[in-house]
Amino acid sequence: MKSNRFWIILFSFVALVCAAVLLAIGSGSSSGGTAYIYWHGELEGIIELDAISESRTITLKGGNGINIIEAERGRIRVAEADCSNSLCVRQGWVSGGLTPIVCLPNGLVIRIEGGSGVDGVVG
Amino acid sequence: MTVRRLVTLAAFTAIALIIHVVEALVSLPVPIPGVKLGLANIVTLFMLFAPRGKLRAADILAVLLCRILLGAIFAGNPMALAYSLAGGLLAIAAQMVTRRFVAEKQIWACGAMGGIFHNIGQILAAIVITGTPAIAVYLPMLIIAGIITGVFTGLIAQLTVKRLSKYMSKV
Repeated sequence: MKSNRFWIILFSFVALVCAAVLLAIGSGSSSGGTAYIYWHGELEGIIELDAISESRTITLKGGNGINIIEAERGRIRVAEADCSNSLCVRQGWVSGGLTPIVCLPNGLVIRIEGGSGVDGVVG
Repeated sequence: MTVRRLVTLAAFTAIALIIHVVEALVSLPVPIPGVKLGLANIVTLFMLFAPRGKLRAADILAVLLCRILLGAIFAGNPMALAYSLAGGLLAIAAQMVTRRFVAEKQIWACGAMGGIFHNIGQILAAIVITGTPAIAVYLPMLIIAGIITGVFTGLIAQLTVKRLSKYMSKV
C-alpha cells in the first residue's frame, strides 16, 4: 500500500461507485407527491403538493432560527432562512426525488414522497 | 507532561484553531450542505507524519478535541460541536489506521481517507440529530467531495511535512 498507484485506484473506484449511485438516485426523481416537514426531528406538517391550488407559506421558528417555507402546486422550497450559509434557500424549488431539503443549522428537513414518477403512469 | 510537550501541543492547537476559524469565514461555492476544505486537518496530518514516534496518539487526539471545542465556542454555534466531533473523531481514527500502511509520499491518501470519514461522521450525526435517515442520500456526493478536499489538504500536509518536519524539535 506504500505506492501511490494503489490509492489512486482505490479512490477512483470509490468515486465511481458513488457517481453511479448518484446517477441512480437522480434518474429516480419524480414530481409532485407529499412533502413531510420535520422540525428538530419531529413531524411538523404534511403537504400534498399536487392538491395545492395557490401558493402558501409556512414559518417555522425555534431555538436556533427561522425558516420560511413556500409551497406551490407540485413543488416546495425554503424561501428564507437565517442560517449561516443559506444552502437550503440556494437549493431552490424541489418537486420530488430522493434528495431532501436540509437546513442543518436550524434542524429542518423536508422530505418528499411519492409523486408522479413511473408509478404514476396509468394506461 | 513536560513543559516542552505542553508548549508544542498548545502551539499546534493554536495553529489548527486559527485555520479552523478563518476557514469558517469562507464558504465554498458548492450547493451541497457541509462541504468544506477541512484545512485544519493539515495540522492533524502534520502531527501524524512529521515527528514520527515523537508524538503519541493521545497528544494528537488532545489537540483535535481542543481545536473542535474552542472552534465551536468561537463560532458561537453549539450545534456545530456535535457535527465537528462526529466528523473529527471518525476522521482521526481512519487516519491513524491509514498512517500505519503508508509512507510519507502517501500523506495525500491519508488526507483523502480523513475527508471521506469526516463526511461519513457528519452524515451519521445529522441522521441522529434530525432523526431523518433520508439524509443518507447525500452520502455518495459527500464521499466524492471528501476525496477531493482530502487529497487537496493531504497534499498541502505532504509538502509541509517535507519542508518543515526537519525543524520540528524533539518533544
